[in-house]
Formats: sequence, C-alpha cells, structure tokens
Amino acid sequence: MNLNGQKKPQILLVDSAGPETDALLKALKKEGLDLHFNQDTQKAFEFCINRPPTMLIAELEMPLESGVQLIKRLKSNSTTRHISIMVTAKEAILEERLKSLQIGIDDYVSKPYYPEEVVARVESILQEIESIAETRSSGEHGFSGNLEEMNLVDLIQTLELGNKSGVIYLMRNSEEGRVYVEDGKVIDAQTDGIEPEQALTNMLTWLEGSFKVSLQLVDRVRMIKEANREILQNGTKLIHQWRQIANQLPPLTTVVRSIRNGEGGYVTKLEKELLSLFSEPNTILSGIESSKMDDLRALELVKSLLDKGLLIKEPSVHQANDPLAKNILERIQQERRRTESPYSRIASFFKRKSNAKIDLEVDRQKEPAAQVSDSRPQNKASVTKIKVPHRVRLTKGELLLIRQKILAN
Amino acid sequence: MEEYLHHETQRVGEIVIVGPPGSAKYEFINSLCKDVVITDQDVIFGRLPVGKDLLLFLYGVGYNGKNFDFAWDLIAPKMLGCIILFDWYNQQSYEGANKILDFLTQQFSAPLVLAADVRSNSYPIEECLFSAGITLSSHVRFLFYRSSDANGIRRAAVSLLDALIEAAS
Repeated sequence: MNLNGQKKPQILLVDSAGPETDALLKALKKEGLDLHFNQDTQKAFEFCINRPPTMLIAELEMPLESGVQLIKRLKSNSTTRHISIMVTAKEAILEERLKSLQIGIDDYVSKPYYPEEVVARVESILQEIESIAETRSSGEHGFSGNLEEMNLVDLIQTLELGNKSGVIYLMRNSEEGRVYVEDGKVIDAQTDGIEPEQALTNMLTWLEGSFKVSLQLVDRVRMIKEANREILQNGTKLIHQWRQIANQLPPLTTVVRSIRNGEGGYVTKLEKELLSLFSEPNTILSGIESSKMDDLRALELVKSLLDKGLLIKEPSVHQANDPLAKNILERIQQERRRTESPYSRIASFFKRKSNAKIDLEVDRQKEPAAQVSDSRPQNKASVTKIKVPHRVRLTKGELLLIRQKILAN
Repeated sequence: MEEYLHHETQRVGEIVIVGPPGSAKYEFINSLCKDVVITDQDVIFGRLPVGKDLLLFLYGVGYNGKNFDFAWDLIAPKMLGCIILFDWYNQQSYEGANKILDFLTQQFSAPLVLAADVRSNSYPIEECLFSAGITLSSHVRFLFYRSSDANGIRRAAVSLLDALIEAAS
C-alpha cells in the first residue's frame, strides 16, 4: 500500500515521446508500477490535481511549458505539493535549471541515462516514502531529544534536508515554544505573547532543554518571511554570540539577586527593568525568560549587571553548613580544573589545521599530481607538491540516501 | 570477488576510517555494516548496500606511527572523505591522530572528521560540546563519540556525510 491507499505506487512520467522515453517506460513497467505517461504539462498538472500520483518524473525541457514551471505549480498547490519529484534533463542545462528550482525535488538524473539507473533511483525514493508511511501508521510521527544534542538550527536543517513538514516543540526551563515547518521551510513560530519573528529569534538560542518534532501536514498562513538560509545564518551567529557571553557567566541555573532595585545612577532603563526581575532570588535563566526583551539582549545585560556588581550570586545555605555539599562543590571545582586540558587539546587540532591551510594556499598555485605515495612522505617540500583534489563522485541525492541508510541501521 | 564487491551499473561511495592501533576501527565499521572482512593486508573492509544501485564501502586502515600500508593512490582520488578515530584518554593514540591529521590534510582535500573515543568515561567537557561537535575548518570537523555506542558511531559517519552534503548544496 502506498500513501494514497493504492496497492501499487503510481508514477507519472512527463516527457516527450522518443526511444529513451520508451525504454524508461518499459523498464518501469517491468517493476510492476502503476505507470502513467503524459507529453503535455497542462494535462499532467490536471492529472496530478485529480489523482495525485506517488511520484512524478518530469523532463525539464518541454515544448510548451517547461518542467520547472510545472513543478513550481505543483509545489504551490496544497493538493500536489507532497508528490515526490524526480527531474531529468541534459547534463548541460541540468545544473542551471536546478538552481532556478528553489523548491524541493527528491532526485535528478542527467540525460542520456540508463533506464535501470532511473528505476533504481525511483525504487529508492518509493522505499523512503513507504518507510515514512509505515512510521506514520505505527504511530511514530517524529522524534525527540535534548536541545544540547540538537538545537533549533540543527532541527530546521534536518527538516529542510528532507523537505519535511511538521511542528518542532521546544521546552526550556519554564518556557515552551513551537516552530512550524512546511516542506522544509520555516513558516511560523510561537512563544508566549511574542511576535513570530521575535519568538523564532529567541528560540534559536535555546541551547538547553528538550524538543519534540512531530512530522505532520502543516496548513498555516506564513508568518515568517525570512528564508531558511537567512534564519540559519542568523541562528548560527546568535548561538555563537550567546555562547561567547554565557561562557563568561556562571551556569544559567545559578541563583542571583539584585542588591538594589535599580535605584540610583548609572543604571539604564533596560538594566533597571531587568534588575526588578531579580529583586527576589531567581535563576539567571528564569530572569531572562521573564524579561520582555530578546533573550540575547537580556543575557548581555545580566553580564553587565554582574560585572557592575548590581547582581550577585545568592549564597546557598547548604554551601556554608553541609560538609557533604562542600565536598561535592570541591569535586566540581576539581573537575572544572581538569577539563581545561581538553580545550587545549582540541585547540592543538585547530592550530595544526591552520598550518595546513597555509600549505593548501601554496598548493592552489600548482597543478596537483594524480599520484599519491603509499607511505608517509619524508619531507614537507615534497608533500606540498602532491595534493589530490577532492571530487565527490556521488550526487547530493545519493549522499542523502547513504545518510538515511546509516541513520536507519 | 569483483562481482561480490559491486557490478558495473552500481554507484559506489568510499569512506576511509583511519586510526592508530587500538582505535576501535573494526567496531566502528562493524557497527555500520553487517558485511565486514579483514583482508590479508590487515585492511578492514565493510560493505553497506544502500539501494539496488548504490553501495558504500568502508576501509579501516591502521597507522603504525611511521607509515600506512594502504593503497592511497587507488582510493584517495575517489573517496568521499576520511574519519580519524583515536582514544581520547590515550596519549599515544592522540599523538597518532595528530600525525594522521597532518598526513591527510597535506595530501588530500577531502573532508575529515576527527572522532575522539571517550570509551566508557564521562564526557571530558560539557555535554553540549560533546554532542554538537566542533568545526575546526571548512574541511575538518571534530566530535566525541563512544566506540561502544552505535548511535555515536552513526553520528560520526553522518557528520562526514553532512559536510559533503553541505559542500554539494
């Protein structure tokens, strides 16, 4: 059974008639697929509306309307946007056309092709569709985990890679949020009483807590105007800034309090507002969450207030009196001292890599030789002359299939 | 044997897993492939069919501190990338990983993943770093994993594929 409840997966091939198309039709029929063929993109579109196939194989160069246009129409229609799509075209134009297709396709094959190659790829995609359908029917609609392991940037990237639709639920401390993704694109975000764009910005820096991803159809008005690429770039930048500041602070679960309620000079309005949230002892994270400003700004201000001495750590009652607590704290301190060496060890890899980068720049000036010695070269001068250029021989689609296979093992 | 490996219409991706002695290369490959053999030249060879038309080959290569007994000239031009395994808590293993990194970065432009095995110990640094991994450069990523944990092994392999997918995007 496929997603449409049919016994055989239904494939629609849109291409001009010819020997190559005939050979492909024959090879696909051999596999027992429910096969349909159309030379007219308009009729193909109508077919998809009336009877959405499991998968469409579309030639990009069609006489009346280009395959690109057909795919864009299908992807912008809620009835047909979930049809899996493979495109074919002559190699010379394929790359250029794929760039113009800012929408998800599942795979592509350049012409001339071996029909068996296309059939193999179609089968891979159908297997993936079947596996998703099985996951859905077995009640497993997604996945969950910790934000320490996968933050929102990672989650968006994961859904984008698979052009998946669903809702990402995030939980941090006392806060909850949702990010809505449609066909791999972020379209909306929600946390308590904040505009979608701001809610998304805040959640990008949630690096602790948990998440749950529910793969499902999402039918909402698009509230986030930014493209995924911009969101991810912004997210990476924000995370970097967040970590830079957080690394200079005590753990965000540390309880702090204000020593005065922002009265007096040298306190900005925003600082005063933040200080009021710590008039009673509160964790740094809870204070940030309660604040109306964006999380990163609030974190910056907390640092500033701690530096000024207007926020102080709340001494723990146990810390002073309980010998067991003292012992634990001492061990934590020891562990912190011990963990300084791992950083320096990783840093040594950075250093080595940066040296190697200089070598790489030198190599770019020279034609790389196609031969590599089996044993390690003895002197550096000979090393810099031999560098094998890297050419990935597999397509992005094939790499994604391998990735999926490894994760499914 | 050739037929066992692949037939002409199949596409093949190759990943080299390299590490000093005791870096759990066999465990790593065996966790990803059911089909693993050790060749006469002590190369661990794993074969992972991905579909009818696509295969992934994994080569586990040792490094004795001086040289590699491995036909880099045959594999390197078409390999997808390398994963360098080493034991985080073993100084010799760490130094071996550094030498391997030097060798690979000087000779090849392929992406590399440095995977530091923390065995059954606790994470040497904060868990967020353990989980997220660190991008050392456009070609090299670093992460911690446990050779006893299949999920960690998968994560290391996926990290290399992600680098390739990003480059292909």
